[in-house]
Amino acid sequence: MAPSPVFWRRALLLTPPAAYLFASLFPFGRVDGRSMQPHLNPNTNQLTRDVVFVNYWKRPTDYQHGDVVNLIAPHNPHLLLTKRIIGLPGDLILPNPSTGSPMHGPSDPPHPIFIPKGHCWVEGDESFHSTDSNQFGPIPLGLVQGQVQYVVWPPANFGPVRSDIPPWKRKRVL
Amino acid sequence: MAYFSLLKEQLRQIRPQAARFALFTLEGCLLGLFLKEHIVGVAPCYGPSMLPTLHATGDYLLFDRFSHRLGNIQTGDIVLCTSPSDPGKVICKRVLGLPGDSVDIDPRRATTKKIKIPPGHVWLQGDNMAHSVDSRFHGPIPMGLLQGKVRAVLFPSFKLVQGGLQKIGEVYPV
Repeated sequence: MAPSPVFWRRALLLTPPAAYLFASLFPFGRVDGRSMQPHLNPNTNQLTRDVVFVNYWKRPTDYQHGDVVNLIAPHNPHLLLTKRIIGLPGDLILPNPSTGSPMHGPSDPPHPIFIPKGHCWVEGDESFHSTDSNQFGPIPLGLVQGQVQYVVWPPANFGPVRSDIPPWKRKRVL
Repeated sequence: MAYFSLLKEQLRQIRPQAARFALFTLEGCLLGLFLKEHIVGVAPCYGPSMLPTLHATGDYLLFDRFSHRLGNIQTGDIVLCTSPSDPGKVICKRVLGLPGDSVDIDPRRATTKKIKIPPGHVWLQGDNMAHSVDSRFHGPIPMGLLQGKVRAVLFPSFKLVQGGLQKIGEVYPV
């Protein structure tokens, strides 16, 4: 027996809410790319993508140094990035001198950048393969969507994502 | 005992109806939440920054939450946007430039400067240039901060907000 028109109407009406409920109950996402190696996507062959649990209920003022966050790319609203927060409002950050950053000229030494109110400085752990604040500067905290808290898949990586700044970056936070 | 058996009998009779009612309520709640999160919203908007268009004492605005995600934003639209300097605040401004446009930062100044808007950003400005903290202060704003496009003013006086650029005389007859 073919489903009745009432069934189709209900199905059509309820598909978006069901998807919404699913996304709220299971806030998991996949991480693309190698900018957060070695913590996320540690395989160098780049064939697997880690599945992470993202906490979308955090208030934008609650983020701390070293948190791994999900954010909308400032240059493309349809692109989600996963980076680590290095600087928060009021900090002075020295841009990474080894990756040619437009924040400072090629010849002059990097000068510290003040993070203005409501902004933050984000960087990938793998500085050489990361599009981050060294390219686009401090970003508004309003772009930050949630905190990446756990790696769920693959099982070998399973565990919490620790929030601390890598030691070789600490001296650039003034 | 007779009372309880009677109650049980009544409960058994209304069970199918109760189950249907509960399911219907749940579906309604889900649909409402989905509409509120992704389709439409109503928000109060205070302040003098949009003065000839919106009252300084506050208007209730009806806005949609999908136009900016679908790229349906034109120069002249009024949008709601997370404040770049305070992620907890929402500002209401007019779009005056899209990616690739060249914008005069402040035409009232003697030494004016043109800047080109980078990809994924918009130039937002209040209609009341004298009392507005906007892109002239923040610079181009990432599209990821947009929350919705204003479609109508609901209260205190209803009027539809038309998108795009219009001649001032047509909208506000002097």
